[in-house]
Amino acid sequence: MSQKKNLPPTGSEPNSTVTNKKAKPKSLGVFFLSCLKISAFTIGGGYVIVPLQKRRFCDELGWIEEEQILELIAIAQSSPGPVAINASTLLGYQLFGLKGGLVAVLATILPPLVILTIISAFYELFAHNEVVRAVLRGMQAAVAALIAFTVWGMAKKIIKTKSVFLIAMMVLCLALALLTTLNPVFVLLIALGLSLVVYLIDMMMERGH
Amino acid sequence: MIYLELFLAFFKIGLFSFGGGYASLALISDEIVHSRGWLTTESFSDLVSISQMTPGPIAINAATFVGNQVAGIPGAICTTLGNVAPSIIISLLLARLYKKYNGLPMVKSLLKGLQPAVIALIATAAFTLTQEALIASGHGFANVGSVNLFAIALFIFSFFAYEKWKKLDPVLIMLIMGAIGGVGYYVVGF
Repeated sequence: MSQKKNLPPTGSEPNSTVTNKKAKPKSLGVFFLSCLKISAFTIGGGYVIVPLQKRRFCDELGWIEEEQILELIAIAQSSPGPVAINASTLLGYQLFGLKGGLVAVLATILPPLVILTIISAFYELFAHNEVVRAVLRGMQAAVAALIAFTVWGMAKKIIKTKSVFLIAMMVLCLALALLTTLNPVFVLLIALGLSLVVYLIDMMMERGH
Repeated sequence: MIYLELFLAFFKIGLFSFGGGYASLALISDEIVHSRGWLTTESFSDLVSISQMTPGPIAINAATFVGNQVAGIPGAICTTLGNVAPSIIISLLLARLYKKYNGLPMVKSLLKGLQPAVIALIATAAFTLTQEALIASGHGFANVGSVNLFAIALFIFSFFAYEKWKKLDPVLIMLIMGAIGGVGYYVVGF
């Protein structure tokens, strides 16, 4: 399928996989505000950006498919720097080109910049405040649950495909990530290598007929 | 000039941070605490704890904090920009490649194989974060062994809430659990 780069984005590109939900029209302003909000709630580690991005840009706005978000996250992890910055930059570029990428970066940096500047000023107040700590502990449980819930949904979908390759890949990478101290980038490289091998074998088998 | 020094130090950190926040911690510590003494080890520990709890990646938080300490707001801007510059440049390059080539059958197949890998990595992060969220800390009476029962309850209830009320903004659930946590941990003493 060719990418229609010259047409203005309408949000219902013919080359996206067909879904029943109505895609809302794309707007850079909405994108900026969405990224701002997502960044403000990306607490406790960069990975929570996955459920938040998926929910906003895939479920609510229909601008992108879940599979594409996963692909972009794969690239985000392979690029240096925080996953959250890379993920929004990649998404911004994918949706709006260069200006989308830059808008995404701005929207992602602003909340931590502002909040942390404020916190630095009241450092003593925040650092050892029991109430703040209690509230944050509560949020921590909710954040962990959100990521767990989201990844559970994604894992279920993989299992539903009944593809031996995909399921084996998931289990293998899980084992590698949990049981070894391998950097995630290496896990992705191994996955890429295996995908390449499988692809080449498929090609050879087809040619053989 | 201090601004340039700040920019370059964090540019270097940004360039070599692969694989997530914890990987970059060691790098940040080396550059900021040991090489340049911009932060003490204690302040750095505090920063790490604060980072877990504030929005934004640890690297950005460290950058903002250090920049602020060393040279005020202009300093914070230099460090933050320095830190994200390598990420932005490389991400934009990769984004361009992706957009251009992701329609190709071979690229499509390869990327498809990456999806379960990414899911596995996110699952690993979920596992770690869940462990951290549920461990006992302090002297609450809901601490049983190495876990805190109240935390487990909050976790289960959140999970159930996401499942049952899919239309509800998860951020709202995070805030509600924050409030409940505030009451439970601080007032009641779980």
